[in-house]
Amino acid sequence: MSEDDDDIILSELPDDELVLQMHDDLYDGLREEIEEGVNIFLERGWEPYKILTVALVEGMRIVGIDFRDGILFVPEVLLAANAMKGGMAILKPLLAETGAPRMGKMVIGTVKGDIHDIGKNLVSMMMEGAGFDVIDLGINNPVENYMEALESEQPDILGMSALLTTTMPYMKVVIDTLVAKGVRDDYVILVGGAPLNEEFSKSIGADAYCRDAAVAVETAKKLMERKHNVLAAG
Amino acid sequence: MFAIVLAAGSMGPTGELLEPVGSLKKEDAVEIFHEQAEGLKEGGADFAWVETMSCLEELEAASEGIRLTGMSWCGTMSFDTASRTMMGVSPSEFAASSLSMTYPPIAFGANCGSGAQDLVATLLEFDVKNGRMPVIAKGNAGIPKFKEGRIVYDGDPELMAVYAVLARRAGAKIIGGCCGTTPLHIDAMRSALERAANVESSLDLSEVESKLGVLTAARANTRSNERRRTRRSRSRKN
Repeated sequence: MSEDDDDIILSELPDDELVLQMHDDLYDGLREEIEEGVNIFLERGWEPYKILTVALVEGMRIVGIDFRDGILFVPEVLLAANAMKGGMAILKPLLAETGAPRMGKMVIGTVKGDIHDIGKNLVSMMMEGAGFDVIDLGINNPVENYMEALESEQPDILGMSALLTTTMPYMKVVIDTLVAKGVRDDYVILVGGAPLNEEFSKSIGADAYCRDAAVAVETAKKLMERKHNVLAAG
Repeated sequence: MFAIVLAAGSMGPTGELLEPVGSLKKEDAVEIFHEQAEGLKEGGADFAWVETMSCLEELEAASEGIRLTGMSWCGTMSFDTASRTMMGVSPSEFAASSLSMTYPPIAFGANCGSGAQDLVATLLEFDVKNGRMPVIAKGNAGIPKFKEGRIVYDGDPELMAVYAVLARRAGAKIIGGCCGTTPLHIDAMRSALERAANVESSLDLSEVESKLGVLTAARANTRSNERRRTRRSRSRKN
């Protein structure tokens, strides 16, 4: 970056330009700038929910598109998600106070026998970036962990991750357990991980296979919409 | 008569992300790899084989760990994400860094990833004809499918035999298989390599696709991989 570039002073930007600037800053993973931008909008009287959706979620959506298209990769997305988290930390308590609408809730975890979590963590962060509440169960989860969390958290979505061909069949164990207990259809079930594919996801009875974190967000949004429509139709 | 057999000790990624993206310190990664390499050496490995890597810094940490044991090493990365590694390393970047490392590998290449066809496409991007280091090809025998409660790979020995011959034409000197490869596959690959003439005819992506199947990822040379957004200045006044 040359010295000749004009410096940008966030607080001097009008609302519409500040929004675009925050999209850029998310793209570049600039956490401090995102925190500053959020605070400026709060001072200008923006509703926390509006800041979340217009500045942060939209910015992360752009990051997600370029991640999906092979333009951004894991390091850039992690930095962007980290910047998003900075903004979210400011907004979260305010969102709770103002009773802002929720996108949905997800319980996610890597299955039993598998300790890999890079992809799962990315999905968690991108889902949070899209405005979902995420309960992350971590790695190596036996079916009991999933059942307990589903019971206590009552999420809309269950996400399962596996990196190994030896551990991915365990996803079916979890889904079969849900079926046996008669609660399978209470949740949208998304699965992902390097060796998985669409066909595998179908064969174990999941709702969708998500190739990457961006696709997971898109799929979650789409399936949540469908769920809401079904509910509305009664 | 017995052929000389060398035993490679396989090493893979830590599963953690290195600083600054993650929390693993480079020196800790070096120590982890050193400990593993030392164990492999004691167990009788002639050299180390670092594979399925996605991050250059982590690969370098592995090389430093191995250097402490005095073993030689081979390194392969997994190009499974839009023709790059998960961390965004392109085949040509890896080729360049293999040559310039402090403790360079004796051979470099690609393993795992998507199907065998994508691996051959990766070899073409190494531009191995101009390379100074032998290139390794270890492709998957197709993709994993779930059949009757277990995972099977859909690439048969015949497919891997075709892959092996194409990998050699793409410049690979060390050719093997990764996930889903069985002794039957290896046998078919060896027979095919012995049968087929080692021709120096050029290979392009359309021939790879016609013989091994459609590529799963768009290649860098067939798409724009420019960042989509025009950047504003990042500098700030306080």
